[in-house]
Amino acid sequence: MEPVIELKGITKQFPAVLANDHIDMSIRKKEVFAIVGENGAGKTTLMNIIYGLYQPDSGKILIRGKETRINGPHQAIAEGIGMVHQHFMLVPVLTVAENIVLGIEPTKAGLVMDMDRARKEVAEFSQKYGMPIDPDARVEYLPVGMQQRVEIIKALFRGAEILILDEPTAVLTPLEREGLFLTINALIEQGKTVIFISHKLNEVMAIADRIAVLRGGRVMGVVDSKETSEAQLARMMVGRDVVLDIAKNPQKLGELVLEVQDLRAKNERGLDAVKGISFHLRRGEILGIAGVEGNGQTELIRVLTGMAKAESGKVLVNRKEMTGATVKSLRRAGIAHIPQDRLRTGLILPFNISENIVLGMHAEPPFARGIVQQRAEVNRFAKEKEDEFDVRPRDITVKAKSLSGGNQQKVIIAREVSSGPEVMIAAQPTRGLDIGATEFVHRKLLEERDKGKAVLLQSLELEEILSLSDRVMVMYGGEIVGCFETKTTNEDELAHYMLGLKRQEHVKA
Amino acid sequence: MSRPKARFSYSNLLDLLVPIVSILLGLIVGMILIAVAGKNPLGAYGAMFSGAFGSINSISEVIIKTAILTFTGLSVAFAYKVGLFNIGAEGQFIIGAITAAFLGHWIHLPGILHIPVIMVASFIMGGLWAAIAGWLKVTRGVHEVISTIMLNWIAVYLVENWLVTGPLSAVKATGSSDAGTPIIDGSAMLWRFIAYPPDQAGRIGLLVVIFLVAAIVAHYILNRSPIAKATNLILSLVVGAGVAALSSIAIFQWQYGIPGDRANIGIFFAMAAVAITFILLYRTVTGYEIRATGFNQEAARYAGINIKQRTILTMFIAGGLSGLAGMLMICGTERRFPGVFPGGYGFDGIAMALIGQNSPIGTFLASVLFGIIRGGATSMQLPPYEIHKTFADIIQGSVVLFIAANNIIRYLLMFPFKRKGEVD
Repeated sequence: MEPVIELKGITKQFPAVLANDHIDMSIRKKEVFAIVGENGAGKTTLMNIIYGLYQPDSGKILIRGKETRINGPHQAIAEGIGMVHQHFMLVPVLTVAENIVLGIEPTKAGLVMDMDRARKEVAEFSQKYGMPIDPDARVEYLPVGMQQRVEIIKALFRGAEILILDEPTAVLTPLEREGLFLTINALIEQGKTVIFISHKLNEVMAIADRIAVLRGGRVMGVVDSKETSEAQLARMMVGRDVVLDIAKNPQKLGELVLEVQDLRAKNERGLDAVKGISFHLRRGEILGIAGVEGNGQTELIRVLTGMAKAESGKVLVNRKEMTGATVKSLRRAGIAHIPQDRLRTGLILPFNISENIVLGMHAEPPFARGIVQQRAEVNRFAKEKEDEFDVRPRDITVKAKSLSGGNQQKVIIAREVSSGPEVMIAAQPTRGLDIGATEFVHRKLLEERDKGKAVLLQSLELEEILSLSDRVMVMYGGEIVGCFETKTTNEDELAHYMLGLKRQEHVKA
Repeated sequence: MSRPKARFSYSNLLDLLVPIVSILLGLIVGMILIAVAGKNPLGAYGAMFSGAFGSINSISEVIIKTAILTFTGLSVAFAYKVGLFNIGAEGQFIIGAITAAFLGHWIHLPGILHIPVIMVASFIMGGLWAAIAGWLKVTRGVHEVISTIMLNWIAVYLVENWLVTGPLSAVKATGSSDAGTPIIDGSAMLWRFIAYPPDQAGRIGLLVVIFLVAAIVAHYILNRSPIAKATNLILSLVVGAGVAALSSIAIFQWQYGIPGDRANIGIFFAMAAVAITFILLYRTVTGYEIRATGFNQEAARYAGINIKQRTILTMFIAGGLSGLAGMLMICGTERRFPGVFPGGYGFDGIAMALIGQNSPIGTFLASVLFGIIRGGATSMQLPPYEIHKTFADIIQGSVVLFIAANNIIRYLLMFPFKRKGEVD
């Protein structure tokens, strides 16, 4: 197969880092070419160079054998390169068809926009590529998976032959991910080429033909997906052996710390989201909450952490009733919370590391005496935790917004673990993290369990839940539809419960 | 105890450069307009600055304006820290002023008590006026811009059109034919640099306050260096005594040195307010919670911060600062609530906060600059330039415009660095 894109010695230097260091790769027609690497390995920079957003300092790009200088996205599009960004570039209030034809609208007599033709063309297009979509739906009301589909159609509509997907699965539910993979296969059959950027190894193993591994801006190797393994890829990415399967210490179950009885709560739109949930959590165990996104997990955790009020039911911490307690008193009672959205909830981005690392403990001694902040004490604590949790850079004056995702999460975990909790509530604690950081988070959660704390772990990744939890409960439609000892269940069984195909008669959680 | 080294990046530099460049551009716009009017721009600017510093009288006006602008500017900047835009500084200013005018005439206390009582009352009244907007915001979701604008008009009509012409008017109180409220007691007047009245007890009280403040500040600063506690205490007392000694020269001698003018110790209050708001915002739990709430409400809630209470408290303090501006106006400059109120300081405070990038120190610097421009603009009215004194508003307006368009300035300033690329 002849290559459609060849990169020769692409180098890009940023003021502080060498983002791409003499990158050579050649991508063949009709293949799914995956690029994997940890956060900061240079994947996105490389894609931005191909898409014309950056100019390389040296090296050249050959498109269909011809050396091409890509001066901007418009030229990339003219060369048949399309890109779907991690964060979608859609206008929420416009319809699907309007979004797709935006900028290249068909017109009547060159003046009036011909919406009928646009709608028809979009419908035909989505049919042709096997991506059914309603051209009249407003984008803001579409689920994320559908919005991504709009982005893909948008790129194809502009004549893309080579499609770059930047971390396309980061925002998708497992079901939507399957849909995306079907779409990718259909595209390949139609003769397109897909460049798939990810740091999730199981995904690239499932979808890619060949996989290029980047580390520190360099290509560590290009391998055939049939001839490699996740372990090998992980080693190439991280540069050392990575423990993918976690060895758990035997469980030492202690007394009851958290008890929830018939809890009911509404979501932000006022609809019932948590419908009568009961469970208990004991010291020394990790209880997993599995479920497809949007089945009440978020609302349950908001109520347990005091961020939202329950409609009815009871929450007991250490056998003391804490229903409807404030965040502050729940924190004092020993509830720590790793929130699912670290940017929106877990951190104050314009604050620096030392300000963030005491968030929630900021008014307690030794960080405050009366209303006077003890800055020396805060800074000393921040320095200590930076070392202990390996936060990089080792500089407590760096603002949270300029940290990488993994280091942001480390700041949150450092803070929540050192608040000395009885119960650690972790919501999707590894979302968007690379392998190294994920491994770190997992280790910390297990350490908490082994120290005799109780951990409530909510995740959309079944694999994560199965490898960490001692027990798993499955949420579906705001209820717990099943509860299992992790040892006696498997992914298949749980999936049936997650999709609502099965439920236990009497759930005992 | 070691302090972390501050990191200074190009983006920090930009934060500093944006207001400076905006001010320069504003001054240039002013020059262009003068030139268009057929006058000599450099000459006019010269007249403005010599006007501001040319006589004791004009320096005195600069000092008064700076002090009042600092308070209203701090008020707006402070509210901004919790994420609210306090358009209502003008109303709070008026409420603080009428409170001072009322207490200045209708209650009688010795000088050392009268002014503190008035200060506290003006702060509380201005604060409550603003807290109404804060309360409406957190309980009913009323946007603070709307509510504070309305409160401004309520304050104007309530005070200027009713109280001052009606129940609190000098005509009713003393039977004099003066417009406005009656003159306040001597004990309620801020000491002018030419002391009036020669109130020895008040001056000694002031000296004690200066001694205490200097000693506390010195103690705080020394606390950060590795010296023994006892040494620190002695050094702080020495510093306090030194500052008080120097101040005593000013306090007891200035009446002979400077002819009678309106400049008063309000400027020291303004400087103290800058220091206090800075410490409150950046060194206390309260300030931390206010800033956390302003940056990210969701994260603040996650941290267990009572957002509603913090929002109302912030508005209260912001309103209190504007109230103090009104108190300075009455007890320092006007000595009564005049029939024609020289308002507008509340609205100018918005500009000061914007130009000062909502930092206490930046707001003070902006107030000094515009104190000078406003003080000097009066001299531009004289021949040969004959430029109307509202010219200062044009400069202020265009600076605010450039600040608002700060992304354009940032872009232009970034240009030489753009080609090298940024880290993604």
